[in-house]
Amino acid sequence: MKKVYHLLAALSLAYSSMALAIEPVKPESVGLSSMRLDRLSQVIDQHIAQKKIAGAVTLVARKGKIAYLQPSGLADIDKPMQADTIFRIVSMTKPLTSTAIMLLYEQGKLLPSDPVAKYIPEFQNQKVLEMNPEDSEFPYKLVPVKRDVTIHDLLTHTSGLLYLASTGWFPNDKREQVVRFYREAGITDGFCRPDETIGDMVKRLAKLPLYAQPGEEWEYGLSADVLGYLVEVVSDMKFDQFVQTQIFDPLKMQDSHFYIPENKISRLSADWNSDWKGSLERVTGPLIDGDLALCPNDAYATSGKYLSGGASVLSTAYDYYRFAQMLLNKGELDGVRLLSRKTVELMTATNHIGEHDATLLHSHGWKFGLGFAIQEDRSHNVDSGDIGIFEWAGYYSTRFSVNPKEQTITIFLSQTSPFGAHFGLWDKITALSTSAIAD
Amino acid sequence: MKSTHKFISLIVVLFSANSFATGPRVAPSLFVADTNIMYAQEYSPFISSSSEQQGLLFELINGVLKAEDIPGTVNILPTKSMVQYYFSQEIPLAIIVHDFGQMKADNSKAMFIPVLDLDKYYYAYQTGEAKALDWAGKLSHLKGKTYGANKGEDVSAYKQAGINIKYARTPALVKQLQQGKIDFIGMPEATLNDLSKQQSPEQAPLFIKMMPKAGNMLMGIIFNKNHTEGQLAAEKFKLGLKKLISSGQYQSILRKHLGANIVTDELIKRI
Repeated sequence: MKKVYHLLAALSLAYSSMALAIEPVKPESVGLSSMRLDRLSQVIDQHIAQKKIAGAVTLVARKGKIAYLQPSGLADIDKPMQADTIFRIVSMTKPLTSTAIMLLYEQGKLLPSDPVAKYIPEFQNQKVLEMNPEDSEFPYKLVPVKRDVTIHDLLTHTSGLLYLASTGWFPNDKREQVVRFYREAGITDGFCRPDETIGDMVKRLAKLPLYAQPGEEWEYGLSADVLGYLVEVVSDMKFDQFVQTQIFDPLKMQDSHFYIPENKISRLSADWNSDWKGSLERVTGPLIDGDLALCPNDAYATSGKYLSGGASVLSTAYDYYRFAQMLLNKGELDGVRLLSRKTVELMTATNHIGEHDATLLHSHGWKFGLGFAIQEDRSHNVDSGDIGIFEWAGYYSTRFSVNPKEQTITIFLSQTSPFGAHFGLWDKITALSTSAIAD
Repeated sequence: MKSTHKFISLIVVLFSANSFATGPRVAPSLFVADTNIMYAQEYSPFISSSSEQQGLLFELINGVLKAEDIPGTVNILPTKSMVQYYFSQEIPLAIIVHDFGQMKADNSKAMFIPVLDLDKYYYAYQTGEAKALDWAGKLSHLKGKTYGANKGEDVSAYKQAGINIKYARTPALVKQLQQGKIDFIGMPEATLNDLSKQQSPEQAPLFIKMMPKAGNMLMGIIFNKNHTEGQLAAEKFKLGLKKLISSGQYQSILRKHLGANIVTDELIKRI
């Protein structure tokens, strides 16, 4: 027993010495209450004690300063969570991809209104799948698109492209039929890393029927993966290289990667499977549930071909804070201007998807900008925050939220499946960080 | 002269870029002709959207179409079921097929013209119990093994022989064979060579051809009798194919893709 204790103590010491040297400011200095922020720790510790999650890193920043950076629980078996633990941020990759597109927009290389086919010819003459009446001889028909898919459609998830996993979220015959084509064509959601390039996948995807006419439905799907390939075509650089040199390097996001460097593998958090009732197991293989295929262990690969604009990035709470702070600052961080103020205003405008609501992560009252959901009104079931808050999340339970009005950023990074169980915890975290505002 | 100058200025102002800026955007797809369309399924190296001549079968067919002045646009699709959809539910001029035996086409409207007939072999991988896969021409010898099939492939004979089936796209099947997830796959030698070289050239020699041959793959074009130009195009194509062969162009295309040692006369006899 003594030996185990010594081992744990040594491990803890070793890891804390490696941990990130970020010294949060006193919360009161940025108008936050220390006591109220402690409630965040209590809620997260409670979830860890109840074995709902193994661990998390939570960050709250206000007025450009980090006021709360709390690692809790375990990153892996016998490995305590650290402030610089690396996470699979999955769909929180999407805002980075949108930013890459908007950098090219600012360089005059593309316009959101451009048809995607201008750059990827396979998107010409696309078809949309429509179901025939039930008594028809053939179940569906393919009709021409009324207009071409644009880059704006991809940025706002109104392209008509699906995720295969959506057959589990919103099952219907039409979706099932489109996904049947996806399966046959070897399309994947990108949560596992196939042994092919993103261009190979996107070119096949473009030839398959769309689920809806471009611009006519909000449908969360593979649009960001297409944007990642679009970055390659327009910039003539590999997508990861572009993001590294144009986003990660200028923002000093030193621990953000598409494939983890060998010397950082020990900092990557494990993924855990939780039944949310006290049974928590470290995931050792792929998680397959119908059309949903997750391969958390693919994140240990140090190299590979697949660069998903919707799912591939690994990052830390601090790195993602730097990205979010750049957006909150309307495009600038530490004297480096990445995007113009007008571009960030365009990305965070609430009128991109018309009458549709972005209801995957939230309820009604949320719209989708160019890369994230944005709170539009308070007439619906909204728990916290303000109109104009923008946020998104990732499949292994990661979430970020930026409140421009109050100048706050909240980031919660965990690695726990399944995704659906976490909504309540995330909502509490954003509610608690909001209610810590004390000025 | 002055009035002419004014008129030109007026025209320039009226039709300047700004005057169009708020007008409707016209999508390129509005200008693409939709008649005489043909569909094909991607199947490397015979039909390939990534290669310059779009594959061996495509080059042979395109050679005839051009020579006989049969207008048409070929759309290469990633799935067989989409090709089948278009043939059964719409009126394309033709579809190009890489395995006629596996294509469900309504005979009442299909006019099939064979263009190429190649041997099909089963392949195992050296780490996957190669010796145990001595099939001697009988599927029953492979009972309990796992065969890698394409979605939509007729696998009834394999199931009847007690063989397990795993489905994937052909490139993925080759990888799964290497990973030991399946025991054998079936395809023409050219396909195996192409995919194994693309994926891991150093491991290409580790694929083992299982003798005797598993069958053949009859490739060609199916014209649509319901298309107004289908019948005529089919007749022209038949003649054109004969001319391509008699001119020696057919043989040289085969040699270019399959190697100088290919016995072209033997293959020509089979179509």
